[in-house]
Amino acid sequence: MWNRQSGPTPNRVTGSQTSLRSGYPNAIDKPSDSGRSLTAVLDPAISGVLDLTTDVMPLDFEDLQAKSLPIRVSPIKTTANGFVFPESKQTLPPKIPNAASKPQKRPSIDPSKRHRIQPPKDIVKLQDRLYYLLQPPLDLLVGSGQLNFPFDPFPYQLDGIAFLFPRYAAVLADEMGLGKTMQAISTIRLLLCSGEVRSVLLVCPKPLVTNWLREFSVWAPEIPIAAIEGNAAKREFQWKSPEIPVKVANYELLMRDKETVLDSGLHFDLVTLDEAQRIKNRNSTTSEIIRAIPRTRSWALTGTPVENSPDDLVGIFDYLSPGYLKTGMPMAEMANASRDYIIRRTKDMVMDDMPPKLYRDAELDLTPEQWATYQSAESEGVIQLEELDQELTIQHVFELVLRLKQICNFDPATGSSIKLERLVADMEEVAASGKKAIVFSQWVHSIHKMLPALKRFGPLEYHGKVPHRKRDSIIDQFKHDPNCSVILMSYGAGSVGLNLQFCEYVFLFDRWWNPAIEDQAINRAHRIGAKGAVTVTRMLAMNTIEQRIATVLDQKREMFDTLFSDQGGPTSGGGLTRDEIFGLFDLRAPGGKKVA
Amino acid sequence: MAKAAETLGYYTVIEDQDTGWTGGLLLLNQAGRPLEFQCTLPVRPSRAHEILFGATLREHVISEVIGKLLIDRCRNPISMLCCDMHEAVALSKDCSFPVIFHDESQQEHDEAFERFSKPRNERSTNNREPSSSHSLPSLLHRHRSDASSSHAPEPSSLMIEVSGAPFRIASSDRVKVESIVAGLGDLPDGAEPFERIREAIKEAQSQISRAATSRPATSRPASAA
Repeated sequence: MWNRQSGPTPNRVTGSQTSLRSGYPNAIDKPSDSGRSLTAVLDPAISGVLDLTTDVMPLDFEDLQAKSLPIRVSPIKTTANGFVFPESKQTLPPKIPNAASKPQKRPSIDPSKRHRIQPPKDIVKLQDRLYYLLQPPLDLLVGSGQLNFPFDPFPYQLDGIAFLFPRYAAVLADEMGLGKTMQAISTIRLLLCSGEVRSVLLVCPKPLVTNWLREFSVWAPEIPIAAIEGNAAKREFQWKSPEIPVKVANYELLMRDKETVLDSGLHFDLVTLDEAQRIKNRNSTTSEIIRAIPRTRSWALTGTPVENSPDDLVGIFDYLSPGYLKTGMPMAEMANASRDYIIRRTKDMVMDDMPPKLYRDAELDLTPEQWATYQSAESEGVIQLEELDQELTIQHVFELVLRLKQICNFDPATGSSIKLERLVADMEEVAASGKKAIVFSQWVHSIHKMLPALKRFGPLEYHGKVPHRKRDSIIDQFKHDPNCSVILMSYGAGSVGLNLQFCEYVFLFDRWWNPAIEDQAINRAHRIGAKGAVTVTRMLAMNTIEQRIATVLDQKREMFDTLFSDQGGPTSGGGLTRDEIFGLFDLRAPGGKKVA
Repeated sequence: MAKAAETLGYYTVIEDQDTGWTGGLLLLNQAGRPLEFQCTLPVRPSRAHEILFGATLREHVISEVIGKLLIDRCRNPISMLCCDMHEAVALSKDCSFPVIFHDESQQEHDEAFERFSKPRNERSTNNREPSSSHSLPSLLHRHRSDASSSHAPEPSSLMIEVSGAPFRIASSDRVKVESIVAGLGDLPDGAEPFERIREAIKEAQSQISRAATSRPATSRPASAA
């Protein structure tokens, strides 16, 4: 506060105010030649000018001279870098007639939940990574009607497309039934339309060729596609035809057309293998030919990337990126190295509307009759196998395994069965609650033996000996007849193609060799549309061959878990190998290693 | 001669206590596909800057330092610039294209437009918009001062919807903005591109600290400007 006074006024120094004229260092005190002085009074508490008085008047302002104090501060500066993306890479596929997706206003969603294309780790150039990151999220493209599908894709399928799109090496390892084919086709369609790829080779098992053609006509009807087939001249013409951007060949055909594919100057921008476990054996001719196909991008589709050992994955990676994985790598290291290349989802992970699947292991001790028969059969059987020595084949071991498993189901002499006792007890509860159950067994013979004890539950049979013409009516009766609480099925007849989602209980009376088959059986009830939790009871005779088999299969599941731990739990691994079957009886396979 | 396709610029700045202020400008075509991306190195104002600029530091950094640089560096012409910080509206005084503000909360940030809302070529003449433009359908609502009286002065800003997202525009830019917006039928979401810029800036920043991976890079379709 400046205060000019017109008359002589004494300094006003009160309280904490201090006259700076009296020798204080921060005083702004300018004595004039005439003895006049200008005094600033400062308040130390606020470090500001509190009062200013003149003790001599008149004040001569001409004596005051403004002084500038230069402060040198450089301007705030930065630099910029940028990238221009070519317009030619921005084409989207044309609209599919009668497509389900219509332009619609999308609600605002969490940015982290968008289906955004994320560049893989092996793309390191910033401009390359930004090219993918700066693309619009797929969900928005679908929602706006720019990206068109005949049916609305599930969110996880958009994630699969976003995963495949930027990758030059990738494994799509979704559980069977989640739409690997659709995801691959849709991504190929986007890549073709954007000009990133111009020639694609699809390799699949022969029976699936027509399936791929059909799926392409649904999901990418505008893309020309052809199966390589016919006589040698026709095939050669097809191989070299540039007008067909997508060619489909089967594994066997590649062997025959090896010279054309490998030595005639062909090059594919993308090679996709369906059922890629076909090349898990790196020494097979199929694998060698596939690996030699000149190509830029390599994708593998498989529901079971690992069947027997982690080396299966090495075989697939030798196609994707030779030498990246090595046999004998610790599983944790292998899992870590392969993580960015593999995407795997199971139904449990992606189907939010699916009820839970509850496993209940019924660990049962055989009845005394069964146990006596079992012990005798196993000891005699093993002795016989050992006597065969060099004549021993896997078939001999297999026969013993089957015989023992059958005893675990029913004592052949007395018909006694601990499993049947347990099943009947559980069925009481199932029937009383008005629910329905499916019982799976490997043998029709066992199914027949169950029938009398289950009579009051209205059992129906569905297996290989039931004529095909009667099968639909049996399923229909099971679905609608309230007196039929249980259907007895063989794995072979009942594990695929049936929709029994009205059942809430599944019993595995005996275990199949391969968890994948068991999963298929269970999925008859646990599938889209299931209304309640599905309880799966796996019956296991303790201290028998069944327990040993289950242990081996559990180890395989564990291996799968380790390799794909962050991709969700596996629902299926592979079956037993030759060495593992010999190992069930602590036998050494002729010419092979002993497996404990 | 055919009219050049409209391009849509998106500009945002990430403020981080550790790294400083980093700006990104993404240029999209009418379908929302990227044409160009420019981003700055982080800016770290000194203590002296903070003292000297005081409360105006933020606007200075966003509009004068980062925004101007990014616009100057942009190789492709910009038809309209979308920003999500009201400080960036100050850029409009030096730009020949409209600068519009993503007003998510639809609160009043009118004062930013008060200062820069006059038409670029008429900032000294105080001309009004033609009344025929009032009926354009993409207008959400007009500023409150406009609602009270037909004789009230023209509001400095209006709300407009760009592909489902609310933006505040200078009233004087309405005709031009609405003409551009009308051509954005394929743009999926008017606000989502800001997320892309933030992702891209994070990616650029993480590149600096990322250890070199063991595998060689593969070439991709993008050319450095």
